[in-house]
Amino acid sequence: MRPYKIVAMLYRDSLIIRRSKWRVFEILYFPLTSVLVWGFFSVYSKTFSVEAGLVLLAINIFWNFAYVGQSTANLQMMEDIWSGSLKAILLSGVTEVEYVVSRLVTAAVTSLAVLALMIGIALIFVPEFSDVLGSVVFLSLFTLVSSLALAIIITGMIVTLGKSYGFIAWTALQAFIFLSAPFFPKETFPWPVRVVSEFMPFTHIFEQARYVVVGSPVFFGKPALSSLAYFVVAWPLYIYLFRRARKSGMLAKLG
Amino acid sequence: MAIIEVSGVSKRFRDAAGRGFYAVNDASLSINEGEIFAILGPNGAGKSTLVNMMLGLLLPDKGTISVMGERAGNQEVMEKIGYASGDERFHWSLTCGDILGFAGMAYTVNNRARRIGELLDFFGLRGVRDSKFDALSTGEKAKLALAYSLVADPRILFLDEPTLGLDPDISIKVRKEIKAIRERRGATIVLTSHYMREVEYLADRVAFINRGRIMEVSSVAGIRKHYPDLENYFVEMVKG
Repeated sequence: MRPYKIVAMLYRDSLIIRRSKWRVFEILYFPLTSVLVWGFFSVYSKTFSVEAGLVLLAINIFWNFAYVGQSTANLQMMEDIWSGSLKAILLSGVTEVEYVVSRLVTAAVTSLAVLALMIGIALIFVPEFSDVLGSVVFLSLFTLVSSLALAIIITGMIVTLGKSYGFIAWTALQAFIFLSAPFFPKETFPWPVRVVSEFMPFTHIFEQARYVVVGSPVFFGKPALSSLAYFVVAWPLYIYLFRRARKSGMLAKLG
Repeated sequence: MAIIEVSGVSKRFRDAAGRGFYAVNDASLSINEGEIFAILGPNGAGKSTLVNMMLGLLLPDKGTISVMGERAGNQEVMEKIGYASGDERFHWSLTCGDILGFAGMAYTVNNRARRIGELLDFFGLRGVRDSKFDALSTGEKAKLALAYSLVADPRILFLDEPTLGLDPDISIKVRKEIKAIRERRGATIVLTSHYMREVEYLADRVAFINRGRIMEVSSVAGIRKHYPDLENYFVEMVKG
């Protein structure tokens, strides 16, 4: 992996963001409107259930953070495909790993900036949120690692399945979030879904996030392990899928 | 001396009905350093498949392709290859300057600004340096694609239908520019085109491919001894 190739890609990404003002608006729109809705709800919920409002607010922050992380990386790739510039990038000597690493760096920087804004707004609504900030930051790191791991896997899937499957760039996370039991314990699911939920990347993060906001003791072992496991497995899977696309001819057709 | 060596390469795909067919079947050819080599053939003959395998975007099922003595797609080799297509596209929000700037960074070109300035002047693109890609005319886009492919002064340049959709006056200019690239820089050029006059004007040698098989490799001068022009040659070769 050559750093200058990644720097060139990051330079290109920064120009694209700078030259498309609406892109910034699009990145901020859903996370900020979402945190405003649940921020107001948490203020209202103080009259009947402080914890319910806090849980909704905290989980929505993690949800949006995960979405921005994963979708930024994958939508950048989809833009390269839609614009027909992916071929030019790959023929500029950028390898498949350098390509994805650069997307992950841009996605991490973007999503961390959005997270900081969301936490800032949450603190205005619920100043007590500052008491659990340390744990929230820790869980955010695991959320980031998990969402980037998903971005790697989804990139591999789009490369191997073709551009007509590009929709998974913005739909896949919803299924992962649902199966990760965001607002409720995974035991609420019927047993087959519960088994699946155990292996979802965000299940243990959401579980600990709920414990954090209600003041229960938290353990970072499972969230750390599951997010790292996803990240470690994502790379060989991506390289295998990319090689398959190179063999099947899908890569040459992508754009 | 051969700079690209294709030996016994085959690539099989499946059609919509699931039947297997050879896009390229047992193809072998050598491309010499410094020559302009054209790959001709009717639509669906296997030209793009063959070029994609030379570029390393597609892996052959059988056979080997070596480029500059290395496996096609090798990282070191990719640094010395340029590619431009008449249908080349870049991100819509990037300007001419951005696009060439990225290429300069990706290839770690020394004195990047000077090199980009040279290319903008060479292709007459200085006036649209700050225009976004979507705002460029078809001719400007084709010239930008050529400029992009030349940023790192490649040893091998792949040109896929470089004058596709261009007005005749611009096509003539682009062809002259392609010839000048070879003369000034000594680059090897691999060309695919449906314009026989273009091939006749530019190429030293031609490979004719049909139904995945290389039917013939000959010099343009040799073809002209037997056919009045390349169009007649093309028609005869398609007839078999």
